Amino acid sequence: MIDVTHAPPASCSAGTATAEVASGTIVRHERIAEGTWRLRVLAPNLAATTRPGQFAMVRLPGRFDPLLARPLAVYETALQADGGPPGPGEAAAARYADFIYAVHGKFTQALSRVAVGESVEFWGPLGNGFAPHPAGHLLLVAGGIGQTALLALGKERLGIARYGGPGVAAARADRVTLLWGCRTGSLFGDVEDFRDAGIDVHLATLDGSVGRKGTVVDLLDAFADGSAGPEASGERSVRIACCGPEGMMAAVSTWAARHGVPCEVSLETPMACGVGICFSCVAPVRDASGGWD
Amino acid sequence: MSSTVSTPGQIRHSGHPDVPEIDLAVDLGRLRLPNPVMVASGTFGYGKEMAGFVPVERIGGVVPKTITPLPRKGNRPWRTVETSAGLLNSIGLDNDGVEAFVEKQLPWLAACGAPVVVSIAGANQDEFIALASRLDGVPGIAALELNISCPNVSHGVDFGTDPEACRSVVAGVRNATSLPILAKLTPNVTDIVSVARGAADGGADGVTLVNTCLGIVVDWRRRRPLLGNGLGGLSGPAIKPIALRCVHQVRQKLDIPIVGVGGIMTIDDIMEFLVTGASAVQIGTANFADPTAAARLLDALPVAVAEAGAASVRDVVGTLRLDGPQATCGEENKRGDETP
Ligand SMILES: Cc1cc2nc3c(=O)[nH]c(=O)nc-3n(C[C@H](O)[C@H](O)[C@H](O)COP(=O)(O)OP(=O)(O)OC[C@H]3O[C@@H](n4cnc5c(N)ncnc54)[C@H](O)[C@@H]3O)c2cc1C
Ligand SMILES: Cc1cc2nc3c(=O)[nH]c(=O)nc-3n(C[C@H](O)[C@H](O)[C@H](O)COP(=O)(O)O)c2cc1C
Ligand code: FES
Repeated sequence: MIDVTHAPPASCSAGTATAEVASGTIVRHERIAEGTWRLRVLAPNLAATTRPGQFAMVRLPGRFDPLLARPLAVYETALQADGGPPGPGEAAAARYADFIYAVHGKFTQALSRVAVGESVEFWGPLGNGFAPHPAGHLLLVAGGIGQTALLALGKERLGIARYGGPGVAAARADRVTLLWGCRTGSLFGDVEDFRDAGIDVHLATLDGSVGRKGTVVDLLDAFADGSAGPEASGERSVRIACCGPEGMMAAVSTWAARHGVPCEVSLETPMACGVGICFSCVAPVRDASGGWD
Repeated sequence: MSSTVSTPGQIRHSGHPDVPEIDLAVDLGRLRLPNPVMVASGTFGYGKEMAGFVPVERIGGVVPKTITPLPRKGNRPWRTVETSAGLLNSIGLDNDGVEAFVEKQLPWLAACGAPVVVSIAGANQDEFIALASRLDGVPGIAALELNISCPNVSHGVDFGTDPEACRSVVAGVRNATSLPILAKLTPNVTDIVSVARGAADGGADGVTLVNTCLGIVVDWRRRRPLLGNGLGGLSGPAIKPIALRCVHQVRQKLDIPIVGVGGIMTIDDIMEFLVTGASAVQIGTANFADPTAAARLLDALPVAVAEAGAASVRDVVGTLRLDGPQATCGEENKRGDETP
């Protein structure tokens, strides 16, 4: 008989389990565009620590259908139920987290029926978030619901909001522009959040109902040839931060490579766990031999 | 947390007068576990990733992601897709190989104190034996689990479907190591009992029942399978009755200890497996749905065992009654007229 003896754990967690599956009351829940909802949840730990581009796994309490939680980007944080995020110099910690979601399938349909006063369960922040590269001009390039990963980044880089706790050294950008493409104009929600932050907003729709007719790549072309504005072209230290459907991100990366602009994408391979235990969320990365890793 | 650990197993002292003291220890052949709540291979990373959510040292047995002799990239994405009450995956044994495991992952897990049951897979019997010899004597390993059932790699299923191949690989590993051995079997067979008998004859200390059920999900509009690999393995609540059936059939025919796995989400699920004949259970997909699941279920166990009128988990195992009018399942039903 082999008896597995239990030495007091040394280097392991030893009772220091700190990550939690939290439950948070919904204080705000409203439709902001066609099939698109915005949710504000009381989430002190998540709101105080999340960094731009990070996400949380969200689920409905007490039910296993849908079976798994779903990843949603933390769009914005807030100090109060009806306020905004802390400013760069402010010591107070955000207590609320905002999510914006497009109604898509089982989970998002069910979520859209949950009322203010009820709660959701979540854990996070998860993911790497955007790397702290300073830039002269940061281009946020969003496709579909991809803007959700980008607002906090833009605000942080412009120095008008702070994410991730006091003392987090945030990279700065002199200027931030949002290039956002959707299928049709009715899908744009809360664009004012970007404009109010001092971000230049350029929209495109496939059907031409709002903004330029075309895709974000057309917006990028306009940006490069100067037609997007007098000072838009010829800048040094332009960077792209991009989030959206895979095909769109591929097109933007290709564009960026062609123009020699550094580009960071936020990948959205379907996830099962969000915490790194299931090996679902890999993405093929081209290696030197032309294969993938 | 270590105050809940004692010999022979964990005795749960809650401090509450209404929560009973229950002996949680279980034996799987030569392997004694402090409690029956293990976590399943491929659903708990290498433990470290979960340390924030779960006090890993309390878990009855941690089975890290299956390792192979050399690093494997795994399959193309997408690798998982949710189905009705289930999850279809085709991860494809993505791992960094045995050497990286021993060097980078095992030390942390071993220091935790939870029994570490290392899951290994080879492409052939020689690879299984080489892995077992490599791990023999490495400190911090409580047992080996032979993954002879992964649906996501070619050849993986063969050992798990052919009783003689199963017996032979288990016997080969048994010769190569002094560690206790669990053989993890696939439900994708006509006769699970004969494969389990092969494992028992080969000298396995226990059988882990079951790995995932082979499945496919297609997008009819694009006329394509959704997973990068096409086929995948189904897990989650959808497969629980299948897993339970495998446990039941093996328990009725063989004496070998069983680790039940498949679709466990709640404490009731655990009790069903124990009563049906599993000595221990593994939590799999539930770790994704709720990363605190293993701790939550372990906390709920003593009360459930007490409710079953038992003072130890061992007293609950295999207590399913087949003599009443409910005994209408398959060959155990001697009164055919009661079969629905
Ligand atoms: C890191 C990350 C952050 C995200 N942030 C947001 C966000 O802020 N707002 C938002 O609206 N959405 C976001 N998403 C996408 C969101 O998680 C999915 O839309 C959601 O899981 C859909 O769940 P559902 O149950 O409603 O749909 P399901 O019923 O799960 O899905 C419906 C269909 O969509 C397919 N599908 C599922 N997931 C994806 C995916 N990731 N990409 C493409 N197809 C998919 C399914 O195969 C199925 O056919 C994010 C995804 C990731 C990985
Ligand atoms: C994403 C994923 C990866 C898995 N990887 C492995 C693995 O590497 N080795 C193995 O033996 N089983 C693996 N399994 C199977 C589980 O260990 C377990 O047998 C199965 O999922 C059934 O249990 P569940 O329904 O509780 O998840 C994996 C399962 C899932 C969902
Ligand atoms: S979703 Fe990334 S490892 Fe599970």
